[in-house]
Amino acid sequence: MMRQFFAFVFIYLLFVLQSTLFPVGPQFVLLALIVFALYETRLIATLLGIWAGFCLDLTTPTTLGVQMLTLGGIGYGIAVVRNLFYRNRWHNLLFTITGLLLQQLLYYFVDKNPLNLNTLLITAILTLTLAPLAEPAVVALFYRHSKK
Amino acid sequence: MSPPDRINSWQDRISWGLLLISLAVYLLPHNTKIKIAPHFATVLLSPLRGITALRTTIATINNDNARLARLAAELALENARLKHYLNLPESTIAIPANSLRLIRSRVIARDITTLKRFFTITCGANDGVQIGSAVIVPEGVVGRVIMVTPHQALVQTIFEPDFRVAVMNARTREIALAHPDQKQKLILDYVNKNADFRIGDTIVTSGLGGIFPKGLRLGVVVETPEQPDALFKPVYVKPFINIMLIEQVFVIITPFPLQDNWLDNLQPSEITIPE
Repeated sequence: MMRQFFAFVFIYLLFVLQSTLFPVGPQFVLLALIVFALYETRLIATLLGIWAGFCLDLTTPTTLGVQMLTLGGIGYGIAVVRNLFYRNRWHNLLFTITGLLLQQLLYYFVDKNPLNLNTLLITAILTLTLAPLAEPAVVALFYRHSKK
Repeated sequence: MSPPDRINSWQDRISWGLLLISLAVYLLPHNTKIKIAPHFATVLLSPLRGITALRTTIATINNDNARLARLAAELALENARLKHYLNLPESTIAIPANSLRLIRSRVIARDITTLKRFFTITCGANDGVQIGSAVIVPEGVVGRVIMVTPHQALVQTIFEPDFRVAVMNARTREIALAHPDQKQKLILDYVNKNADFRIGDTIVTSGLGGIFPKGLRLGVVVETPEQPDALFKPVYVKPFINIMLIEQVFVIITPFPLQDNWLDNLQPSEITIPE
């Protein structure tokens, strides 16, 4: 139970890091959420996604709920389909690409603003670069003694 | 490949419920969202505000540091320039080899009409000041003494309509005579129509006339309008000094008596200074 609690705290800290120091940078929150969704139960994955989305939504209150729905859905979706994949190093990249696409497309349709392609490109490249490192890092912090 | 888990467990149902709640939050009216969000934002975003404030503070400190560094450099330069004026060796460009001496003096009174044409300084004949002594500041020429008492002197500034000073273009060395106009600028007289005066040229004293040593900065050329019918080329000069900001001046003391008779008609009879 403590691990799940620290997962929420960890997501929040990543949100602070992402929002302040790296506004145009890797999506730390998404990367961590994907890894947690691979290891936690569906309910926890959904809750973590909604929590992460809620934090992100607070920075743009006019679209409150969009990120909650998107990240909650991503967390739940990954927790559901994770067993369909063989556990190799590419699945994380695939989930990240899907997550990024979902996030950006939904935001585009909701916000009705044209996407800033430069920002999107930088964010996508940095996020995808860090994606293979996300799982070892989160596992080392939270699931060192887990047999999963 | 392992089969997918069943997706109708109690965890799934709660997850769907939570996602539906998220959807409901998204579908809330715009005004309601705006009302709800600040309550959570106050708590959750406080670290963001702290970090942002820290970054702003660091940026401000960096800017201040750069500004203070520039200021320190400027002050060091000014300090060096003032030291240069105070301990000047006898042979330099500004002070020729005739034992000129600078004394520092404070401005204690100004003319009550414009505050710019005359002012009184705290050194007089006892300090070696005489009628005609040049008055300067590090930025450039201020004026000349037109009346002296033992402890005070009256200075005619470069903005007084009767003021004249022989000048030259520091770049081309062409000479002219400067006098003030009505717009706090100086006009150069007797400039040949073919003379090369360009905007931005520095005008310095030429040393002619025996009052101002050669090479003292006066101003910068700001306008050279074309007047085909004029006999001479009009050249407008903006002085380097801001007369309203001057609090202290330097008076150039010469070891020889200045020719004061030619200044007699410049001395305004209505102005008196207390003994």
